[in-house]
Amino acid sequence: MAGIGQTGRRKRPMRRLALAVFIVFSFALLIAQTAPVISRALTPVRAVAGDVQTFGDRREQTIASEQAPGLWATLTGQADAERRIKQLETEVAELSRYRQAAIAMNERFFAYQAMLNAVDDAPIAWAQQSKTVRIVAETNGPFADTLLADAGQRSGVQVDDVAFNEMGLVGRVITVGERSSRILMVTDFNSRVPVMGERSGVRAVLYGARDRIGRLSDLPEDDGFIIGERILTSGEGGVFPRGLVAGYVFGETGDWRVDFTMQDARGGFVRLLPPPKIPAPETRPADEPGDGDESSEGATVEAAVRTEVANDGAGEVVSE
Amino acid sequence: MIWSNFLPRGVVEGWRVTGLNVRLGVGVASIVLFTILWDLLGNSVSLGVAWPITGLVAAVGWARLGLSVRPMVVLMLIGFAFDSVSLAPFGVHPLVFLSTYALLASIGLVIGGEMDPLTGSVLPYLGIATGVALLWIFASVIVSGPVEALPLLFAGGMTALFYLVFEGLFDLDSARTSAKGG
Repeated sequence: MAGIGQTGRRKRPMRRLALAVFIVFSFALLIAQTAPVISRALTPVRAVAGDVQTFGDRREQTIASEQAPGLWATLTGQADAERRIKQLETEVAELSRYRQAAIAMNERFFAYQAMLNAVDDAPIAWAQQSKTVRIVAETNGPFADTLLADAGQRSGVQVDDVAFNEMGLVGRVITVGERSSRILMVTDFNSRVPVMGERSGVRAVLYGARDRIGRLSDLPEDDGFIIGERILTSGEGGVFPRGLVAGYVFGETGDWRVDFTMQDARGGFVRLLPPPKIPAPETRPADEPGDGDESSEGATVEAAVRTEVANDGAGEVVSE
Repeated sequence: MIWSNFLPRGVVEGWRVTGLNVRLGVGVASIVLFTILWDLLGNSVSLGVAWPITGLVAAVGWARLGLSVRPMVVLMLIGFAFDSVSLAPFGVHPLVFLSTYALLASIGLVIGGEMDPLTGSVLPYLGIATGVALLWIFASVIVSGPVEALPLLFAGGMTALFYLVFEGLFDLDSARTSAKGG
């Protein structure tokens, strides 16, 4: 580094001016992005970057899948054992998924029992519409906690699709490119998930923190969670379906925290579900708001909630 | 370049006489290649190793020549690419790279002639530390709270290591390269 900057002394004022212009431009661009319109306008650039990132990795994946077991592994029988382990691991991952579904359905079952005449065929519809994608990169830098998946618009992935793995809720899709999509993880500071305690039923908003431990806010002052209980999505707001496992609660009143279960998954795959569709309210009020026929015909979460509130005034309050 | 002794003489000689544009191109190509390789390696064997901020290496290396417009433009573009990949708001990395570049180039202009070898060898690493600190400050301001410093420190360490090994690829001054012998 000795002799640094000894050359190029000519045209220095011009260069200084150029430097100032570049720095001011960068700073102005940074400030300008506080406007949502400008920030949104730059989103396609990130989508393209995601597509480029997934390109090389897809080749890597193809090469890895075609790898045959080595000679030594074949001779010692290690290859058979490894194949069997892989098979069992796949099976466990598959069963874990069913476990998640069972938990979600169990919770939903009790909720429906409390809400008379409520009908919801969402689980079947979601299962049919879901798709499994591979995670090719993880961005957990200081700015964002996201995953890059190797499927995009071509595979039918849409913004706001809900992502979960065999252990629980992962996040939701925020950007979609042609061949890639970016998932904002629940561990991100900007993520907000309406949740509830599985046993206590306390509602709260779950958000991420830099330490990968979730925080719970906006819960009623005089309510508390039961330590160790599962935290499930409440489905409020219509972005996340109801009943997906987010984690386990710990901590104390005023400082409830969540240990995210999705971090225990090792598969490298996530499933994407379209968000539950809640139709916009009718322009004119329904003829019979508490009528059982309406809920069975409509089969929507919103209708079910309205039925609950109308039929049972003492029922739990669900804010939308 | 600590591995220049292992390269064929022709390559070293060729590098000595290359001009600014080629050297800039080689620097950019190194960043792109290394990023792709690191990405492939990291995803295939699940390396839990921090990413070096290769753009910062370019800023530090290119500052040796003093202020020059072309490196500034390239640093801006590299910065935007980094913003795009790391999901930082556009402008953060260009600001960090350009600030580091300007700082080192200015120090070089002020004390360039009388700089002793120790200062000369420590200064780039101070530049990297400054860049990492700036990145931490920007990130903390943007998310309205202090972000975790440890991952950035690891990234800074990897960046310093990367600079130590590939320093020569980011030297724009062919006259000095030949004086140093590679």
